[in-house]
Amino acid sequence: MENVGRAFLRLFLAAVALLGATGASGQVQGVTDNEVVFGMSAAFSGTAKELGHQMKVGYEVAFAAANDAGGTLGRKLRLVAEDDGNEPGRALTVVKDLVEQKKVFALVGTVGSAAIEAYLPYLFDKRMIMFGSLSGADFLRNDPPDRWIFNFRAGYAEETEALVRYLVKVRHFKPSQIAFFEQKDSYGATGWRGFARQMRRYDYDTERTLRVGYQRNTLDVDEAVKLVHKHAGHLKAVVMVATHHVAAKFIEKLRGVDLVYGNVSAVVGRELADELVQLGPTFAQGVITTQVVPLPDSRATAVLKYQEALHRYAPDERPDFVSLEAYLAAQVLMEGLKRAGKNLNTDSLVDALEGIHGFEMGIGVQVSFGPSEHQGSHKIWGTILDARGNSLPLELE
Amino acid sequence: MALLGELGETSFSDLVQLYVNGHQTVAVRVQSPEGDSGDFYLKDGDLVHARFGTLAGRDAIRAALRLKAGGFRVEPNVLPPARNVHQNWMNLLLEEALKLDEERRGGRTPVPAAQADDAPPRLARVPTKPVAAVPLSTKKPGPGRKALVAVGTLFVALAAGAVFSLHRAESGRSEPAAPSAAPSAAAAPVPAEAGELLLGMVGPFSGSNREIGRGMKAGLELALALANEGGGVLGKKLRLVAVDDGNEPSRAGAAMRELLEERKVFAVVGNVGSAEAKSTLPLALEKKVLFFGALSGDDALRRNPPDRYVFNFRPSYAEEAAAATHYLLSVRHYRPEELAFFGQDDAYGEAGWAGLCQQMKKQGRDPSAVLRTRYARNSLDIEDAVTKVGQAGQKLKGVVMFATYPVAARFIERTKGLGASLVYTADSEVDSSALAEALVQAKVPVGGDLLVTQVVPLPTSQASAVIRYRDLLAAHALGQAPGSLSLEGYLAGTLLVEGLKRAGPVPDTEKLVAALEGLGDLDLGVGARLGFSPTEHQASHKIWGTLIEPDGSYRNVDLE
Repeated sequence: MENVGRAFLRLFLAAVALLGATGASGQVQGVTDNEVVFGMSAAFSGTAKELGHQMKVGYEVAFAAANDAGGTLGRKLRLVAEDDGNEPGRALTVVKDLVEQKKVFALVGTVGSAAIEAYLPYLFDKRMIMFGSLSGADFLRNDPPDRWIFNFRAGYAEETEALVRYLVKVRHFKPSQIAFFEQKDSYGATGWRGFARQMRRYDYDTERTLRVGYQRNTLDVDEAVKLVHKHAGHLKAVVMVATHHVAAKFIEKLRGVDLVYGNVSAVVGRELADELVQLGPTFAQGVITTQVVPLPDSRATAVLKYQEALHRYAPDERPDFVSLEAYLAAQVLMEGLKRAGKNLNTDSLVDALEGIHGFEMGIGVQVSFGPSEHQGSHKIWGTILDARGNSLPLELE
Repeated sequence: MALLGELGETSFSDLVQLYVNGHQTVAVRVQSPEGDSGDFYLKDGDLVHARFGTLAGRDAIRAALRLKAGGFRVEPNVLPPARNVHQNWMNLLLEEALKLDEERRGGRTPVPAAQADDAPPRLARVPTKPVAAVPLSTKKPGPGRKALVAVGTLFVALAAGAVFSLHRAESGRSEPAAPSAAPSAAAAPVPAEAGELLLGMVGPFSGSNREIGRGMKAGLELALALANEGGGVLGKKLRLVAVDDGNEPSRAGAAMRELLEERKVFAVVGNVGSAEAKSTLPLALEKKVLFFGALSGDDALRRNPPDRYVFNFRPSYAEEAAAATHYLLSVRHYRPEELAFFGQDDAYGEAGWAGLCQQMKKQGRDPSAVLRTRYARNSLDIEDAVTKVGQAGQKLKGVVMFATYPVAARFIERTKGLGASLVYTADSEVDSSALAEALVQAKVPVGGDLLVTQVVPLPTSQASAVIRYRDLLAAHALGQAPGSLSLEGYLAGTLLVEGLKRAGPVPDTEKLVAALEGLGDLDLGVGARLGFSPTEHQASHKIWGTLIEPDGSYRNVDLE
């Protein structure tokens, strides 16, 4: 009697489990047997529109190539992008629309730290994955990492660390000869954290560092320029955490002062180069920018595939750091989707992504995630501009 | 998990009766509207310990029976510190009801005077005629309402008790089917049921540190509940029973003996306190019982090589002190002569000082330049330390504190009152939210000047392990707010469950030790990999830095 009862119970439980499984896969928002829908909130208008555009191009060509090869496990990947104009207030509305109206499965490739900061609590509340944002901000890199946030790229703090290390170890500048120029918000604060951390390794008290800045959404660099001028006698370099317009303005106004300028990837190498070249040949030359992906015209395996996909699906686009970053992030995402299998939902994708160790695309670095590690790559590449604004590789170590 | 309620809705007698009938082991805490509080302990359905304000034993029970309003909180599976009630609950209730009735009618006390605390135990059998007393008292004209209620309760209780016993007997469970509602005071302790793995814990569940015991227990129980939901470990359900030591090291040894000898627990987990460990650890080692995840960073629990039966989750005090010292030296750029140390004058404070010295030497600095101050354990006497800090004056910039939160709060308030502008550090055993609350309430201006080192992530984190912890907390521990202590309990419990799962079908301590030592590298998503090995019995070496904000909240900061 007891055995029969137990056997029946087991059968019943198995049936419930089965129902649960199929029920779940039928209910997951943005997922069907034929398709997965991703959402992207980014600027497609205003000064940051090029970033949104490049990010979208990178994900789209990656998805297009994968879809032509049959999709992931038979599912085609689709991207719904909406314009938040890089305005925090608008971004929340946009993301709510993506989640509640467009019914996307997850967010990918979001752009703009301040905008992301505005809707992050909403995403946490919805327990929705945000994968591969174009942001190196600290608040997306908590320790331990937030369950729903996965980054492909290194953080801004790692970039400023690498810049300080380069200036001290390779250029042999003293820590006291390096100034810091920042946007006065969380972007600048993240950069400063890495800068200060590296300086501490040289036992240097950053209270003595010349730290200057400007207000977000302004081009007002006069005060910062004046202070740098005042200390120009003993300064050799400036680590900059700024947008490309401001960085160009800052460098322009410091003409005649012999300084090495080091920027982080968020200035977008090409845009900064274009602005500097317009000012004259002397401005661009020697300006350093750290990157979180290899040079877009590299001949590395993954980059060749990217160039091919770009050529085929977006023939009007030039290879670019940002679209390459998006393309590579999409490869990691698709690896996760594959590993999550047919029963795709948020938790199965989180688990699958956390199971990716040493994923090799051929970019010179293996991508790894884990429960305690939600940033795939920590690699920083150096680039230096020549007089005509071409990005050349720079050895940082 | 804990049950909360109002005495206005459920009377104290009803409440106790419920657990008497269920032969349960619980701690009941009541609070009167005037703010008096009491702790009552039932052991296997026997009310054995009572305290209410300054009253103890029977007087305390009498006071609680008269409460018409107030709140209660029931914590299951907490054993009493010692017996101070020697009478059967049913007799007590009856006598008190009659007495109350007499009082109300202006008569003298007919029942014998309340037994003194230390009166010899009277093996009070359940009277065979209690029922007869009921109609007697109900017949009396105009009895006090309370007496009516109490007597009514008795009726219900007897009926319920009988039904309950019947039910139990029928279902063929192993509990002694009590012939009446009340088990005898000499009832043998109920050991772990078949199909159950019993774990034990010694900690404070009364007194000013009771939140520490509760938090740790609540967290451990989450991990056990999760394992039990999945069918337990190899078919066995896990259960935790705790003994209250009232935060007194002198009582911890007896509490531990109760667990090991009477309860025969399989392992001891989440014990609270370093001084307490001095008396509990030797017993565990002698009996070869696993001593797991204690809430203590003491070196006595971290020998090199490690004691076979001792496993820790958290980093040592010395590691925390070293991290705080490194922060002051390297991040704040203070020099040794600009630092002070303020510590409790016992093993806890010594361990903190040792960690500070180690870090100083490691960075090539001289620890003898640091101003060392002390205070006596279990006192708030910090005058000497405050005076010394005052004399040092403006040259001081940072203080490493190893003190409990009321002491730390007062020290900060007093030294700030002297006009000192210092950066303070405190270790993870300080209840950081209580400390912040104390400072904000005392209107001590803070912000960026108090660093608390933590051995678990912020309980508000969105990390996988912490989300799971909060989900479990919401499901199993209604009303328990997320906190560092219960998070630590949950993580430690999770490691223990993992070890048990790997220990094989019939776990014994030796197999469990081997299984734990094989937990090489576990990533629970807390930012650090956790694990043990034969030479490493401490799962985590990770320390987070949190800095206080003006509103008393904390934010993460780099310690490196």
